[in-house]
Amino acid sequence: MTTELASFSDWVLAALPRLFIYPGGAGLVAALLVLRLWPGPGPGPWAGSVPVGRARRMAGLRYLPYELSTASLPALAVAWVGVALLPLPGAVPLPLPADRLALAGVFVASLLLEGRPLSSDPAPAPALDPVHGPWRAHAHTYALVCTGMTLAVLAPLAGGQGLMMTGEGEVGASWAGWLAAGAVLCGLLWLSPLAARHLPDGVRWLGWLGLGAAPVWTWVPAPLPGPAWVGVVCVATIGLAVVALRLSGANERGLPGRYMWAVWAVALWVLAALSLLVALIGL
Amino acid sequence: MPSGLPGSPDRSPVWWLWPAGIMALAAVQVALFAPAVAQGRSFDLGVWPGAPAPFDSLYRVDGLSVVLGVLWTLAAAAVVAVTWVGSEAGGVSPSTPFRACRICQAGWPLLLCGGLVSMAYARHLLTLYVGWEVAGLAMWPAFLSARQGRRPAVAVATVAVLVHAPGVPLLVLLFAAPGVAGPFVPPAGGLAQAWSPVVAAVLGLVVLMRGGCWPFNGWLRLCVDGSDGRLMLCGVYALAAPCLLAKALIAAPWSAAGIWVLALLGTISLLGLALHVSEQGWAASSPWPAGVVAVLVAGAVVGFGLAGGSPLAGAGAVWLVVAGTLWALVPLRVLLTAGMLAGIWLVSLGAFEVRYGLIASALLPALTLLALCTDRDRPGSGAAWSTHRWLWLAAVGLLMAGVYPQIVVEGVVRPAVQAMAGGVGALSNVSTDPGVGLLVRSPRQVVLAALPATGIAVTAFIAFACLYWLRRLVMRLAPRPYRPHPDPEG
Repeated sequence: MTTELASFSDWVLAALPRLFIYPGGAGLVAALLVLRLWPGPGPGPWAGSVPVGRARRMAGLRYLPYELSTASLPALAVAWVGVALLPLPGAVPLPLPADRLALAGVFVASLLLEGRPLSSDPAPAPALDPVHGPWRAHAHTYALVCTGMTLAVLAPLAGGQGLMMTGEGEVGASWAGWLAAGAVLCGLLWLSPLAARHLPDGVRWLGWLGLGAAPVWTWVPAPLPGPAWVGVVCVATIGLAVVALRLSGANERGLPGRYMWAVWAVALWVLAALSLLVALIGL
Repeated sequence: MPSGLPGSPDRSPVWWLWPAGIMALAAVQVALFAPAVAQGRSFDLGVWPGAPAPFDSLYRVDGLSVVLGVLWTLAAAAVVAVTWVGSEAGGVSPSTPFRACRICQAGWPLLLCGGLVSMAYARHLLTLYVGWEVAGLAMWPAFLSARQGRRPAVAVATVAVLVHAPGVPLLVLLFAAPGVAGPFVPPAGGLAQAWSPVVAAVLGLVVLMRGGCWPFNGWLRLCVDGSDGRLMLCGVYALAAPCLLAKALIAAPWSAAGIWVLALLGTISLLGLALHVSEQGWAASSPWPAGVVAVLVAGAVVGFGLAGGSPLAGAGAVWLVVAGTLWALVPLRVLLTAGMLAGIWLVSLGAFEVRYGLIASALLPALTLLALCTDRDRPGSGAAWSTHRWLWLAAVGLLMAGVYPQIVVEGVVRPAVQAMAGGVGALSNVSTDPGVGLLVRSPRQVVLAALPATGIAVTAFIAFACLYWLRRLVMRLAPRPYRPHPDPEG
């Protein structure tokens, strides 16, 4: 019994710094704040208005209290834990690290814990409140994108022996891993406007990034510590999403055009399927 | 119509004797069989010395049969109680001219429970087949009530075909290949001859048909807009189907081609269902729980198929059947991942072990798609839990299985896998860390997979508590316009 209790306490004690400092906690809040700089309409009562000038740049930060008060706390908590357990460089090692399928399952659980993200009921759906109108029209694609993300993060495992992301038999920087990273990037582009105004989606966005960018984490430039490298990748991805949004001809609400969203969703599925194929044939 | 029938508004005041009696049957099974099974023993029941086979010994008690018997008895009690308490339209129309239908209406709880228990403890394919058809008779009242307004003869013929036609291949198998009807007991001293691929294919098809999997999900349309009791009944009945494959594995393994055939059938069904749902979205005609149940059945077919090559897959399939049956009683989206993740994890690991990586990667996305794309808000999509609070016991059981899978693996899954000794090896590479979760090691003791479910649950609770207090603090300190539910006028 003593050994069992010891293993439990060892695991929880190792998880706490991850939860409150890095990658969760302070690290997560920093990443979310950067994500808040996404231009566009606000959530809930502000959905119809587009802030301008300085208010536009700070809008995402101002809406945080409202988002926190209306978010599904269980979904947010589970997504937070998923981010905290990611095997990122520089994070405190866990005695029993969660494997890739378990982490994907945690993010799926967070998704399913949301109130009514995809209801066809005409009543307002709180989970999609941030950009209610546009997202209502894309609710079915949202489900396909989330499913595609799950497939993309699991696809590189198909050619392996186990489910671990690090250690022996890991999902390394294989071709399948890079293709999966590309697929996840396409999915992140699709999800960016929602992730910037909806806390659980924002945390899950960072979680998918952490899972999808597994090949990037295997290579940390010498002068940078692990957390700094993760921060650079995270900021670069957000910057890329903003640039992609601009190039795709975003409307005045900060949302990409209909066809661009379709292109990103299709690209996600094509790359995920390619990753699966490449992993199966063992390249 | 006599009082006390399902759907009867003037139900008998002693209606509760039905579910109470069924619950007592579950308790009797636990009291009589669990101690022996816990010691790894198995024995025959209903022995008639001198009678020709298979009537010399009809039933057999082992780890798998006790797990399934107790589970299905409890599930049947829940279905009966919900249907009766809710005064739902579970019965046939009073104008039904067929006496057989009236008998089914009056005794469907007995038929359901008796049929399922007979299936669980069956020692032969014939016993299992008869039990299955008897359980199918319990579906008649619910299905006939769904087809009210049509000509009685047409309705009865349709329901007869939908419920009993999937059993015909089994009947053909029994007569065409009498060797298949051998007892479901482990081979004494040595390896048994593997099931032929044709037998594997027939068994797999029967399971897919009975489980309402794609493309055989037509009969589940009868559940659309149905009552909660009817949905629960369909879910429990559909999830009983993979038991056929588990029973077959007690006697003998699949051949390599048989493994391939079953894995292929399950995967095709899984991907077909996913494509079907992704095309039609939440407008799909299948109700919310039925689509998920079909995924679980297809996953169990894959798991039991791969069990010949990897005990992990068999363990995952047992998990999916057990947790899926509980979920069919409380079909909440919230509980889906918590309850099923360990089962999917085990099946995926088994698929890796036998180099079926496609299945390992596709199972969780398929379940995610079904959970997101089917509309749980349609009328009659299984909300019995909101009116029958005691059904939360099933929800708690499912949650506990998600939070502390170690106890389910050691107490339920491992005995069931041990019972399938003829076709499945020992579940040796899964180890349970009582304080953290599950892990799987390779023969070289390398950790191949880890599911620290207990640790994740504790951490999630800590995170939730922090967020709860942070939200309260924010609601006090935030500037007025940015507080929750701001007044748009202001």
